[in-house]
Amino acid sequence: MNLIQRTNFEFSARDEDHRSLWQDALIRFRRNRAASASVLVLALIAIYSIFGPTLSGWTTEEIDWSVIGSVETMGKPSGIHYFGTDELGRDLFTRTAIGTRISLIVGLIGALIAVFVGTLYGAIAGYFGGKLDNVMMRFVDVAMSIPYMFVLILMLVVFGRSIVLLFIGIGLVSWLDMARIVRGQTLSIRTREFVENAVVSGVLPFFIILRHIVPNLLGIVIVYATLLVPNIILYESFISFLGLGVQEPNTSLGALISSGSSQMQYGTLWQLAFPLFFFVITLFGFFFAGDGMRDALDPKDRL
Amino acid sequence: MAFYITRRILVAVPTILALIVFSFIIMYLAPGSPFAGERPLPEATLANIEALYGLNRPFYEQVFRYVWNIVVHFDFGPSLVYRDRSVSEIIAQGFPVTLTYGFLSFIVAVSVGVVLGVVAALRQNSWLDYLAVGVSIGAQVLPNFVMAPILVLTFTLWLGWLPGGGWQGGELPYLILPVIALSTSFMASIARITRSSMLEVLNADFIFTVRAKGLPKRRWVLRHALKPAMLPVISYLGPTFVGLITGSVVIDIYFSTGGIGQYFVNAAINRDYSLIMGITILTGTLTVVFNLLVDIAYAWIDPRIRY
Amino acid sequence: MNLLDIRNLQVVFKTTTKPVHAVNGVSFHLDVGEILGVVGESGSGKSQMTFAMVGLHSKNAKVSGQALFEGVDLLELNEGELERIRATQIAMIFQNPMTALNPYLRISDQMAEILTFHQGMLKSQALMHCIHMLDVVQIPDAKNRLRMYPHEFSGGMRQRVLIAMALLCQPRILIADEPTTALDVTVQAQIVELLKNIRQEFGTAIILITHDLGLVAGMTDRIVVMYGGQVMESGTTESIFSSPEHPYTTALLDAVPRLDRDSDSLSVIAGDPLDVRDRWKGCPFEPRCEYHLPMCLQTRPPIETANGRIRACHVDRNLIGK
Repeated sequence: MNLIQRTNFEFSARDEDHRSLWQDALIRFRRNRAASASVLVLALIAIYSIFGPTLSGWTTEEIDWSVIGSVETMGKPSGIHYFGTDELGRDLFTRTAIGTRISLIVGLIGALIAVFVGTLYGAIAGYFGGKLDNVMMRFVDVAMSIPYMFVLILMLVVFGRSIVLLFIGIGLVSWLDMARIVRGQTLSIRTREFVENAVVSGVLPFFIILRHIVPNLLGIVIVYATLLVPNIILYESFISFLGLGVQEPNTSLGALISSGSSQMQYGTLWQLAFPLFFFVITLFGFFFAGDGMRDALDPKDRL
Repeated sequence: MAFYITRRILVAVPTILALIVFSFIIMYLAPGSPFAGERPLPEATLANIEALYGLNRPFYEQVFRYVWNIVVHFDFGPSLVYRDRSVSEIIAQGFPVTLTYGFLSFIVAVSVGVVLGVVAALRQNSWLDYLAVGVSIGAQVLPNFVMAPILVLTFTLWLGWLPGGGWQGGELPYLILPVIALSTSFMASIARITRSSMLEVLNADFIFTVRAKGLPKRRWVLRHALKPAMLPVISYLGPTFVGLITGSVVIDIYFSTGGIGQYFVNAAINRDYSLIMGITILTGTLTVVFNLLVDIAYAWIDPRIRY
Repeated sequence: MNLLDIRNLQVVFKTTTKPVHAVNGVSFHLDVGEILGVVGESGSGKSQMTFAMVGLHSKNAKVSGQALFEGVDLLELNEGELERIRATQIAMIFQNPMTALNPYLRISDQMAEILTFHQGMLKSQALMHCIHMLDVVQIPDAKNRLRMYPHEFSGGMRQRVLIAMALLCQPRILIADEPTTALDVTVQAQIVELLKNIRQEFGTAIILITHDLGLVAGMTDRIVVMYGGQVMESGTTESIFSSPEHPYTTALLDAVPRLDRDSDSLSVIAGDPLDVRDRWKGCPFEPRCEYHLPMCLQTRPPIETANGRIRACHVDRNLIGK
């Protein structure tokens, strides 16, 4: 688009020519400090969510009877309860770890489901094109103009609130963007020589999609999957905040934030602060890591 | 243009109908009767109620009657939990509240977001730009259910400036916190989108032509750059609308506004199918209609997609 | 007095690494009603030079020297005065007509705004004027086409629209930056004819920036040959083509395919185009020059003026092209 000669001359480093795409991407990613730091932070969060309950010595449901009745003073963060306790005297260090764990699992599994469905759907629509593509993408358009959160809640109500349904439901409402992105990419991959070779030599479409198209989608799929995780964590937290998601004694960051915020007028601010802190840095971590991956894998397409 | 609009409407109408039928099917498939509470009702009573609500009719008849009542009479049937009130009555009572602050949040998110984004783009790499970028990145992780407690904590519990809940017929002090809580994350996204699309447009060749024509900056920004820079923002208005509607549920609950969201969550907890379906269908329809308006606005700005 | 007199113009870009000298002490002049060709390969600084003249250089550029338009130094003017000059005195058209028009506004709005803004015309009056200009650039059915959007025009037609737009205020100078590069060959010829007619009809002086020697041969009065942000040689079109006196010019001429020569050996200029980041003490063309002398590396060639021709080369003029 650029005929007027640009004046910000961009210099390309010649020594990067012979590396593979993935090595290149890794190097670019490492150079991005925010993204690298995010990965480290995410790893620490994951470790905390796995070993947190062991470290604290309390279980999720265990009630510390000594703090009951005076949680504002006795339940403060201390050597016994690192993050304090909630209004029922349960250890918050453990509960935040469990909540983070559930949120991470929901995010990852939801993203996996969305990626799986979205990639297949998009690849099929993009590969076959024509009428099928038209119908399939029309359906995506229609589905996108529906407030999915309401439908998800409707489903949760009708089929009963369970964590499995929550996983599947969130995954199933999140694949639409993925399908669009994948379809667009597939359309351009389909015209490349190696795909045409496979078509000419009579490989079945199913295998072409699986062996030739999907591997070439990997980069973009990874990027958007990373960006999808925080969004799914947001959905889950939203639903749990309303009390419609994860049920007691299990918990998630959204549920913890909800109970923390309902208690804050009693001065037990730590109940809000710790879950909120983990919520915020987890999301930041995924957003920055995803951005870093996008820049690393797809340097042209920077926002 | 007329052809384009007609075609869009022809897609929108079946979408709404499909949504109604889809919700109905989910409810129809639901295991157990909505009246199967903790205390089982006598067989005869249950049959009576089912007859009253038409639950004993064949499936297709139920679907048809449901759709017909909604489309023709705006009647979603009686609430299954609030036995003496119809779903339409509940909607009529709660919806105006939600609509009031929802509309205000929309205006705030779009106007503040666009102004912030444009200013940031025009003063790229100034402190204002960094501030705007910082705010928009930060607000990504501050959805309404995080903003609401933080705002109440700060402005109600600590500073005591503003009420932390209630509605009072929509008086200004009662509106401020809900609107900020609901609009912040969308404002931030809009600012980010505006900034990057504005930067792209400002680098476009045709802006250079306008400058070469000797028109001053004010004019090429306002007359030439702003319109195309708004296109990505307009595309984002659809998701914004959905997000605001969804977020209003949290706001209604957290600030006890008496809006529709409170009924929605109560209905979800009490398994009040007809109310939950009514609200889902209403919001779905509004979303579809809003997206239709967005499409038309898009076509109005971009002459290339009118045909 | 010349219409335009460029003296020792320099454009330096600040970058994150070292400064980039895009234009490095260029001097030339333009007479009233003259067509001047500025020739050079991409990166030779020809576009940046003209942008800098009218204040359209980017923010990270530092411009020095003089650009005298009717005796007034354009580089001394403030933004408002420059806008006035751009609108009414020095107009520009660009390489790619497909992207140079705002796709979201009607042609009428894009054209008329110059007149309403800078000449205080009423909209209706301005539109009449626009229709007249579209007629001048031979756009058929101008009255109806004026109401259309850019995407309803072909590339050639858009370039005509842009030319019409540039001529609205009857500028003294039209800078045409690669005006035909993005167009089909047949359309190129039409645009060239059009530019020639415009000079005839309005007496507009034209600076034609191009890398295409064929184009300059057919329409310019004089040529300035640029390389590495410096003037290599200049003179009348005829003299440059018949007796080039600079190694770069000869190399350029040899690289043009010609029917009257054995076409088996279409020559290319050896080496890569100069990277403008490197500032040379000596002659910028030295690394690619087949005549180069030891001193070419050390000292910048002095500018020689003789018989209305200018050249900057250490090599004896009689040796070149022989």
